[in-house]
Amino acid sequence: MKFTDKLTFFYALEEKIWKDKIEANQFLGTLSILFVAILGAIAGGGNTLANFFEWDTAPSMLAIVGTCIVVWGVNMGESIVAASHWAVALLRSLFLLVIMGLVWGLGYAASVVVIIIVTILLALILFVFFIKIILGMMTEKTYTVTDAFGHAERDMFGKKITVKGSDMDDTLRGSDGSTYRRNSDGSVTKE
Amino acid sequence: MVQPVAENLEAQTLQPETVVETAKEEAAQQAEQMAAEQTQQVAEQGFRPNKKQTAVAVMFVVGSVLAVLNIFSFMMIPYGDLRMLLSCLPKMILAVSWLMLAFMAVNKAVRVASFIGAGVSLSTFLYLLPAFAMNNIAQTAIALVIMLALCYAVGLFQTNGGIKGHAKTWVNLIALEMVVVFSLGLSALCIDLPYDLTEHLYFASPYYKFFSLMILTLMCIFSYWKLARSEAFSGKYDAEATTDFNPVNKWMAMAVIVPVVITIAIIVIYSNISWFI
Repeated sequence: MKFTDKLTFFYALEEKIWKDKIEANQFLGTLSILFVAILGAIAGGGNTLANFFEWDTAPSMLAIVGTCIVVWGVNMGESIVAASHWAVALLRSLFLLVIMGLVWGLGYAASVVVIIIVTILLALILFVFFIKIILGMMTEKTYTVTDAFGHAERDMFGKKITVKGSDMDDTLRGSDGSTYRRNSDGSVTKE
Repeated sequence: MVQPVAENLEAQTLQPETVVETAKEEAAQQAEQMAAEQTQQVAEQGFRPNKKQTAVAVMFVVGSVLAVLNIFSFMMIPYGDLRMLLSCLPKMILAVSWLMLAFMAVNKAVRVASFIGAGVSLSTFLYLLPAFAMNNIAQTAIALVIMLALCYAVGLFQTNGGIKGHAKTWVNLIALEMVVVFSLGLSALCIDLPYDLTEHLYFASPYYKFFSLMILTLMCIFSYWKLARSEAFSGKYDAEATTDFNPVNKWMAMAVIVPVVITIAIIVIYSNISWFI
């Protein structure tokens, strides 16, 4: 499907319905319908964000409805000059009114659904993130013990001393058999 | 042994001539076929504009694009002579283009319509007068005259210009844009504002501005292009063509019905403001 076909779906529809009785612009009807859908999405998204999170995003419904009326008026004017009979112009105007109403509602609902889905996804991602952090703190990890200069401490056999324990433990088990106490600055002291 | 050789020679000398003749015939047939195909293509594709028309169409596009860019001059250039000149320049280019079209018209009606277009383009100078710019009623009255003139002109183009195909549907947009402008003025005059509604006015909202600028104005640029390159301005003036100057047609009906319907709907919406706020 070409890009121009996507922008002329309403033209294809009205060509099917009224055939040669109408001679309307290819793009204006479809672009108007898409614009009304965007207006619906703006209204739905703005109101939903304002209700859920108390953001200052609530749009003026009066301005949106007024703009929708003007958009419909433009298409009504096009119907009048494009139709060969007044009944066709009237029917096309009413048809467009119905379609624009449906599409406005669709845009409103779709934006609400998208915001809810995105909110749930973000909440899930945050939840999983915290769960992962807590699980990570509970698992046992092994550290190498170093002195103040970064050199590894070694036991009597020349082997590097390691300590084992989770982030939640105060005392860590050393590989040399002794117990190490965790200090507040992250260092350990042999007990 | 001699005779057959001579016969052969004759035959050899004859053969190339016949070949040449048949080749010529074939070429002539091919040329005829090509010409027939070309005429068929022209008939299928419609009218082919000449270079003059394309030049005027380019001028129209330049003027329209400058008119769109002019919005930014109001942000960047302080009030003064330069800004006034810049705001007039696009319309002057459009007026010159309309006048050039008038001399390429196919009949009297199309020529008159082109002069109307030039007059409408020059009407922007009216807004330079402070008395008009101050008064909403005067502005709406000017918009009414301009809208009626443009709708009449577009009606003349459509009924007398012989415009065919998709170009016919594009030319309507030139009148439609002005119908919307007048509808805004009329509905703004008719709304009785109970309190300060500045941010709730649909024509002051970014939504309407986006529609007007990104859809109507941009599509009108294509409309000017299609109009200048249509059959109505092929340059073959026919003085004896039957022309129809009757103003009672679909385009004038649009100029009456659409502003009235929009204004009534807006009054209904704005007088029941408690539905929304």
